[in-house]
Amino acid sequence: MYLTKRELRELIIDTKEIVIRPLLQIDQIGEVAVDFRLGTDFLMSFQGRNSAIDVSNHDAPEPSSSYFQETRRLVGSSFLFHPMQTVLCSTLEYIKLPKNISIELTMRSSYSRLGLSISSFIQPGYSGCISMELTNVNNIPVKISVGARIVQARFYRLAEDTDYFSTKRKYICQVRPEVSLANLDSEGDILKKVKNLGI
Amino acid sequence: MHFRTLELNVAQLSRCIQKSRINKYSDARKEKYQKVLIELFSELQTHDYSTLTPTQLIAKKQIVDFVFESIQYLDNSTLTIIPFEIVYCLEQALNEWIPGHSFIVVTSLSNELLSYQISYNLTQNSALYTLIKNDYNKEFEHKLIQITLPRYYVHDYLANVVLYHELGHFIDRTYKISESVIWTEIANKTVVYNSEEMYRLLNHYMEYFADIFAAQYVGNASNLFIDYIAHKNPDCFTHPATDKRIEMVKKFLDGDHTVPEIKNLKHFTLLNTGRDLEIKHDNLPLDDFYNLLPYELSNERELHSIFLAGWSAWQKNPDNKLKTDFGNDVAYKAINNLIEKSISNYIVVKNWNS
Amino acid sequence: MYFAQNETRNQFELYLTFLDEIVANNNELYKAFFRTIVSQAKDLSTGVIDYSKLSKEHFDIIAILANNHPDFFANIDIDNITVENYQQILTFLTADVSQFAY
Repeated sequence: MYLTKRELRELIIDTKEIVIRPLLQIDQIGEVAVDFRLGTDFLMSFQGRNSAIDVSNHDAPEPSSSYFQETRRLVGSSFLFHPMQTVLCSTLEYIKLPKNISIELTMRSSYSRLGLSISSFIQPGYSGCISMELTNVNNIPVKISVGARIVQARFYRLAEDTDYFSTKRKYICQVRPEVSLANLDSEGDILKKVKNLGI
Repeated sequence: MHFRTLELNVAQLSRCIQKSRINKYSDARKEKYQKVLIELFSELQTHDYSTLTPTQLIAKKQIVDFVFESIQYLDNSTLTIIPFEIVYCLEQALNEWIPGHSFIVVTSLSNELLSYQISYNLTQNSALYTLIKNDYNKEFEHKLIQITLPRYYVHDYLANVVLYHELGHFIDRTYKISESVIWTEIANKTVVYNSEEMYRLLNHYMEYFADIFAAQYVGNASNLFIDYIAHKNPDCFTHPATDKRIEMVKKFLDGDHTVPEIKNLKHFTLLNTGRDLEIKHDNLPLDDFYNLLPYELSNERELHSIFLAGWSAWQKNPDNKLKTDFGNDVAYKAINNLIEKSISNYIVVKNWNS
Repeated sequence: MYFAQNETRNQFELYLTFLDEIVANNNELYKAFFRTIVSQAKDLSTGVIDYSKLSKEHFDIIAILANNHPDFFANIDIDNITVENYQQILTFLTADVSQFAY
């Protein structure tokens, strides 16, 4: 069930069960969603010497991080999204969710109309800035202000509590985007074994 | 020095200038500084060095060196991964001790593991700026200070506390605090001018000042790291023994100012700067760290306090919740991330509301 | 370190250059530059001021000159510093710099 404005305000402002730091303006809390802002750190992909980012291979010679370049901007300055470029960024806000509330993240329509897209789901119990993979699917570059409200989060209440830390987490207390650690997924070895069985 | 060697140096500088000319800065002060620098260089290029006396050649070399060093500082400052959180904290301390200053702080990342430094060469030689004004009618409204930290520790706020110590050296040199102590000893005939003992004593005083200066803001956090990297180092010409340094900071933090070194440094700090060496931090509760939350810092005192809080969260033994729940690697990352986010949130909120 | 630090050594090199210029060409700009130095060296030598009151920009040279040549500076006429005075200061400073231990 989506949380509405009244419930969101209660959980964020009154009881602080949902933590958002900083919440620069109260009106970021809308009728059925909370707006989040573009943060200051970016990871931009670039083409290296290898043909692909290989996350199927635990022992890949080049880690994923070698395909991304880090950059920072101050709040109020701008960032340029090139056509068909995927940029890793994060929200300006650091959030902490209770054990029974999750988030679904989408672009605010003002920005999706420009060709920017995102789809993200944040699990209950998550603590950190929200990582975003923004892609400009337009054929025109788009320049956005750092600190602008670009995404909106719908909050769901689950039927029961979950334990975010019941499994080992790769991303904890993120405050800037981090490259994929998909090649460290625990099933990597199993999949390798299955492949070698020739089935 | 042969004038042709100086002309070679100018030709070398020409290549650097060509590369740096295209640099763009978001900071208007850096743009202006670069503009004056390029104008100065144009004058240097057209100068006839063959007619200069040896003394004049040495003076001109200083100007060429100045341009080289300025370009180096500015070039490095276009880095787009500047850790502006730690720079911001240092700038607040700098603003407090030298209000209304005209310094531009730039940063540089080093590949060396422990290269923490604040380079202030360009701020110390006032005669050089007089020479530039006299010979070329160029004036620099601002002076550059460069903060260098190791590339690998860009996001390591536990280690970066060392920069407060480096800032302490800059404040000391600017206000001649340790030097005032030593010259008073010379005047009282307890130390002989120009003796090895004088230099050794001056060096030691400078280190004590820098340690105490840092301790004002970050408590004993800076010493925790120094104790690790310089553990049990004995007295030497340039530094007091590590144990003595730690003890000095402890006495300062405990309010025991009867030790001669602390007494002398406090005395001349107050006389030379109008400010006192005193505790400028609080002991923040560690709950936010344990709850994986960035702090909501409300003032500058709390801002500086975050570093000591980070160290306290790391050092806590036994019952270190972060270590128990997540292990050392995650605890290290979490503490540093939360310090960074606490500082950046403070900056954003302050600027948003201003 | 103190005098071994480049910026201090560099500054003293320029002080010598300026004094050279004053002696050779009566350079008014450098004379104005040196006025504070000479004036404070005199005040320090005669006990009018102490080290905390010295110009921070020229602290080093003032302290060294006053310490090493107190009689000269105590007796100098600040309102009428002659070229011979500057020549003497140049001689003093050249000797002082050459004796820096570190």
